[in-house]
Amino acid sequence: MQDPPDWRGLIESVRQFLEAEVVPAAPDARLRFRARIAANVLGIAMREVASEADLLAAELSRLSSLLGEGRAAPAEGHAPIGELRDRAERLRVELARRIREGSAPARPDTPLWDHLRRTAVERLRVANPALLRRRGEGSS
Amino acid sequence: MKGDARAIFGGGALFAERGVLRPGDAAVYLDVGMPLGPSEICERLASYLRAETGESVRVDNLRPLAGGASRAAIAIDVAIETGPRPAVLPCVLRWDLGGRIYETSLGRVEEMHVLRHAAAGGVPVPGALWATESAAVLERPFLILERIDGETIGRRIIQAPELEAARRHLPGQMGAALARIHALDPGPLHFLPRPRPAQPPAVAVLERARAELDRVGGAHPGLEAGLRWLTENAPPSTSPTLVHGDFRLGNVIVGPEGLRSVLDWEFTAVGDPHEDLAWPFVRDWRFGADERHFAGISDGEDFLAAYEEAGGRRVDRDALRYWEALGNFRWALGCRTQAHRHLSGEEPSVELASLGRRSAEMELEMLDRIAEIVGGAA
Repeated sequence: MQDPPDWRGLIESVRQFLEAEVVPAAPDARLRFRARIAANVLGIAMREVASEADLLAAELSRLSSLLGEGRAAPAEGHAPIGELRDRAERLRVELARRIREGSAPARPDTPLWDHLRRTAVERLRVANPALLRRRGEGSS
Repeated sequence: MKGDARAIFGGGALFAERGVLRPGDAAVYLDVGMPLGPSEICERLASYLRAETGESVRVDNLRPLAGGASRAAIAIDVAIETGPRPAVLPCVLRWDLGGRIYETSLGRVEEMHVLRHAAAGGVPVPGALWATESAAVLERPFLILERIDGETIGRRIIQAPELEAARRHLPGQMGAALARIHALDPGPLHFLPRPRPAQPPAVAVLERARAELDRVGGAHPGLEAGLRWLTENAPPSTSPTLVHGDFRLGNVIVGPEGLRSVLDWEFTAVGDPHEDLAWPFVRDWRFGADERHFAGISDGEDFLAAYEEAGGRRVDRDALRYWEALGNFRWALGCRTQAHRHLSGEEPSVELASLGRRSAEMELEMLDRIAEIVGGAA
């Protein structure tokens, strides 16, 4: 066990410190700008830890079906997250290779394009949910 | 240690400790990545300028301005104290911060030549006074420009109440300025990147992008798809013009009356004029005012009409849409490149790190713009 605050509380305390103390006290605009960025980066990290397993599982299932190698994989729900990350990166490398070579045709209105779009939206759910809301693609 | 600002700024400390600074340094914060402190910058520049001008020169009143992620912008006053015309010149020091955004971007001396060429062609630009590629003076290359007052921050330009009249004039003024830029003869600027004979300019841009993508490394299926589609659908070769390469809010100086100056010529090349025409329409350069497609200010018809009126070529709407998609691709890749500068250890920076996570914004926009082009043609 660990004493409170938990990791979430620790990160949040730094985020608040940056926003409430560093930003207002910064002696010039450039430092203020960077302190805001730093606070925002911690927000991204928090959202990533909370959603990484779900997003990886969704991406992996799409990648497997696009690349036609779905069944060989172990039950992903039970694999350690490190293994899921490695597997996803291998499949992304393979997909990128096929797109560059032209064996996976890159055009809209295909399962490939749909996958790429979903993957971009999923990355923004972590990196910039406010932008997604502005684009009318909020939560879900 | 007395007065040695480097000990405070260069070592990674965030805050000026007033007690150990010279009076003029008290409110100065420089990025941690900068190799020199404020007083050292002033002293070294003064001795460089004494050698350049043969006069007695003082450099002071140094303060950082809003700059880009690749180069610092620092206000300085250059006092020429002897000679026929003693004067205090308000200047801006553009100082490289480590790596370049794109491998093909220009050096500071080349940029100075481009700026002087543009000025001679009637483009509103700041005077380019001195430049060096040498590391001998400030450890990194720099360019010293005439300082022109006004706003450069995109978000403020589209929001500030005192710039309301400026916003009415700006699209037309930017269109006219861009027509002048595209009328410049690239001939004397032999160092500019340019397409091979008969190569479509878009293909030349995408070739450079592919090399960049490989240099950054990692798997980018979305960017690969963009690269592939854009390459297969590149508009045919047109007779190329000089292109600015980063023509948008953020790289212009705006006063209450509108456009004062066009800045940041480090990406200048020879290419398709639609590259510049489409760039300010890219969503990220609307600075949050998504519904106003041109620079967050207007629908862009005023900009395009002024461009044609001022002697620019006839705008091809299909090419414009293509280059907007390509612009999003290029900026999505640019974000990855910036993050790479941080990840490689070349230039550790929370700002560069955070840009990596912005890449998906431009990638999504690129995918949707391409889908719109294909849907519209069906």
